[in-house]
Amino acid sequence: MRLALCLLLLCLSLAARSAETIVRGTVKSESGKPMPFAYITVSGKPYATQADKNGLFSLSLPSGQYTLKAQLQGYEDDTKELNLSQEAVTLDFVLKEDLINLNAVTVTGTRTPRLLGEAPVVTQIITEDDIRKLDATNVRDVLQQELPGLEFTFQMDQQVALSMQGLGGLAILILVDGERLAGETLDNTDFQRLTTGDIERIEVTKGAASALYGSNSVGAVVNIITKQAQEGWSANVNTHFSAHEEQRHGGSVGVQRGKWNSLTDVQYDQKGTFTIHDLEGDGATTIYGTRQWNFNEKLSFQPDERNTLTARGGYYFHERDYSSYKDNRARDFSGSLRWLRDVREHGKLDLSYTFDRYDKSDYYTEIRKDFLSYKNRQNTLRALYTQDFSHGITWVAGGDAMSDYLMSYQFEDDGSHRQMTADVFSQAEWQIDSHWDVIAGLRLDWVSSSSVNLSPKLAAMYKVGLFKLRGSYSRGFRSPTLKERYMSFDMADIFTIYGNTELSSEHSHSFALSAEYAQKRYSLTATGFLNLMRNEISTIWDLSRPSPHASGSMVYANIDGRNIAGADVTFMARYTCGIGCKVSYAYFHEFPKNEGGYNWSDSRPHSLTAKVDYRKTLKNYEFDLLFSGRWLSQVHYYGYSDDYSQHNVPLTSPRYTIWKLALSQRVCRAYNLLLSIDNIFNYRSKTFSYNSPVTSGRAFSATLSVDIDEIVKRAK
Amino acid sequence: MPDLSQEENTLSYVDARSYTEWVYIDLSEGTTLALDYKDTVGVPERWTFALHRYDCKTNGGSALETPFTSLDDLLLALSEQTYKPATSEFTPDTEGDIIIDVSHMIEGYLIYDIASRNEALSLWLNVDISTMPPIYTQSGKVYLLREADGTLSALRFTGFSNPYYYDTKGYISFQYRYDIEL
Repeated sequence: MRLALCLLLLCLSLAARSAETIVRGTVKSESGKPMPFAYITVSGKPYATQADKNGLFSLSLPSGQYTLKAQLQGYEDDTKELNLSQEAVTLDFVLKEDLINLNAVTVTGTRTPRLLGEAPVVTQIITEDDIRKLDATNVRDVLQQELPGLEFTFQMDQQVALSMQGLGGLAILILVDGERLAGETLDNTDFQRLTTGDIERIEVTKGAASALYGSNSVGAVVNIITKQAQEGWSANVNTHFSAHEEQRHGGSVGVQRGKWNSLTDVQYDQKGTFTIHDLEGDGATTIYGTRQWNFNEKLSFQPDERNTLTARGGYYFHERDYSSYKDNRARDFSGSLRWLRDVREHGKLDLSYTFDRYDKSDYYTEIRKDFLSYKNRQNTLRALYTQDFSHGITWVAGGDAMSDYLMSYQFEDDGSHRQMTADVFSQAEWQIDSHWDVIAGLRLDWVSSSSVNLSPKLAAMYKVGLFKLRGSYSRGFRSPTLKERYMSFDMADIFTIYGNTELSSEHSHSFALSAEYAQKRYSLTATGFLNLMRNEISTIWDLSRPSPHASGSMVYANIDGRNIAGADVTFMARYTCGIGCKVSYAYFHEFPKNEGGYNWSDSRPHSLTAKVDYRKTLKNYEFDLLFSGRWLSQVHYYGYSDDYSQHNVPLTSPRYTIWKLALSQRVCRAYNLLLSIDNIFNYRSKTFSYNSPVTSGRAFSATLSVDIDEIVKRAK
Repeated sequence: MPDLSQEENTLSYVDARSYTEWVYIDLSEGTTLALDYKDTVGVPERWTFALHRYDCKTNGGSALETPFTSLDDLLLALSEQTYKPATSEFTPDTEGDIIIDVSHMIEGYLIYDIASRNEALSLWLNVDISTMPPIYTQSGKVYLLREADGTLSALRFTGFSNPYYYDTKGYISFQYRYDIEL
């Protein structure tokens, strides 16, 4: 009986083998040169192979229909459809160079998807691959390394604050898949909730963009685009260790089956409390340790070719070792539903509902109780319609309605306030001919109990050969937040900060002009900008309104503000031998309008980010050696004295530079080991300050990431 | 021998917020009385120590910061005589400055008054005002407080704010054992 069974299995096995087709072929470059070690994958199936050093490959597949894809770093993917019914098939792939990603990435900064090289506004892209090589735990780590002109500093209580070429956190709009985020601390998004595991790319568009995105898009829009699961399934686990008990552990599971697509991403990360000792003197600063949990799920259902339903859910928990008697905590619950529908021939309808709730609390260790101190809840409805017309015209129209509820320890008696916002917008883009592309847009925003804002935008791109010229005017605005309107906060028994219900929106007129030269291996982009700021919202010392503990108080007010001008230059190069580099420089200058001409911004006027890497793909092995860093200049500005008793005191923050060497190795496409030396030149602050880099010196780290699906593919 | 069977006492959220008041605390009864900092007439006959915000003074006594962070550990060490502080290690009160008006801080000055203050007991909380908001660091240590008549108490401060009232600073909490023996 056992013998019969064995014979049956053998026969079945031989029968299965006999039904297989061998696909053979070559991977070549556009010039016909063999491309060694390109990967050949089968969409949705656990089959994969790698070309040899002569570009030759072979792959056995059962009969059926397949989509095969050839991939190699620095080249556009080449995809072929196959219907296998014969014993042997020959298939050749041709890989086109795209060493600097101009044609491989689609950007959505203008809400009309365009290839990066064709986008009518200058957009900076940070890809999933860039993020992986940076070994970043959250978006903060990514942005400060990739974008010059952007700094993260410590404000009160070591709360992280973003500053970008003279603008603060409220002037830079952070979006996830186009949606706003609830919660802020000292006007800044909690960047630790933005982990990198589920990010496909980050799009950064500088300049005002209120015509499309409404309030807060005064200086820049940072849109984080999340991933979808690949065809078939994928699973990853990863772990990271570094100095000061820094750890990160996470994983993701993705499934694409039929009409369903699900991607689940989980991450835990922590950093222990540590001390930064000043290089000069005996000064020391304790940096509070933190722990974070992040959970994100994205589920899509495509009942037919015209409709896609997507649900997203997220949970975040954060704890910070603030002091011996209490820990600071934060939690976020988010969810969204989105319906994308193809309407008629070239129309798309996008309807969505988003919910985001961000809580802050203090956990008192002695009495073991958690006290909720802050709750921000946002509910947003959005409708967006895109229609492609003939003659290269694309029209976008839409509207949002949002309810914003805030309970805060900074309000009288820990009270709460609510406001509604609503808007309608429309934009038309016209690709007139092969040279000209023009965009015009208008948006009307209404904020309950505040103001109405009208935001126009006009942008044009002129292409000639490998050159592109882009110019734009846009109006940005920021309506006063609930905090700025209703605050009543006792500042450490010293003075009180009061909100102001009479505040008007601050706004800016933003002008930008850029020139780009791009070919396959090089690109150079230079942009000049001018931001004319009006009615900036700030705090002023008001002697007419005494505090319980002081003869005056801090009050929110509209001030004359300043104008800001600057320039950005980015150079990218990549050679087929695997060497590449990217250097970006940013400069800005503030033109204050206050009496005395004091520049109050502590953003460093000159900054530079750079990276040089060498990558190589071999049989079953890839590596990438990356040397990257940033340099920030000295800054002279005016602010409060150390004891807050004097204003407009001249202050200086020193220049600094931080560099990192990282070796990323990938074995069998499944095992990724990343070893790095952060702050390789061992920079330490002479006197640690709120805007010094948070480092105690050179640090080593290691990250291991395992793609389980690749192991299974190999086993098959 | 200290009475290890005695229950630990706690005083929670003693309102010492006012810059212009001393809060007189009688550990024998567990009572408190707030008086203007200038008031010398209303001061009760019996009190152990007094609080003005985070400043401490004793009733003609002296205090010592022990290396212990738990009352039980201190009492055990005292009972086993592994910890025997000498009388000379106790610090008596001295004249010092206390802040009585902060309303001009933003203008660059504070108003002080000269008052009796116990430097050893006042070590329980360090307030670093070089940053804003100030950084509060509790020592977590247990303090021995010897009254003028020799009565000895052990104190461990547990908090300086009231989480049940908007986390307002100046509400002092502590655990204590009254009348222990060395």
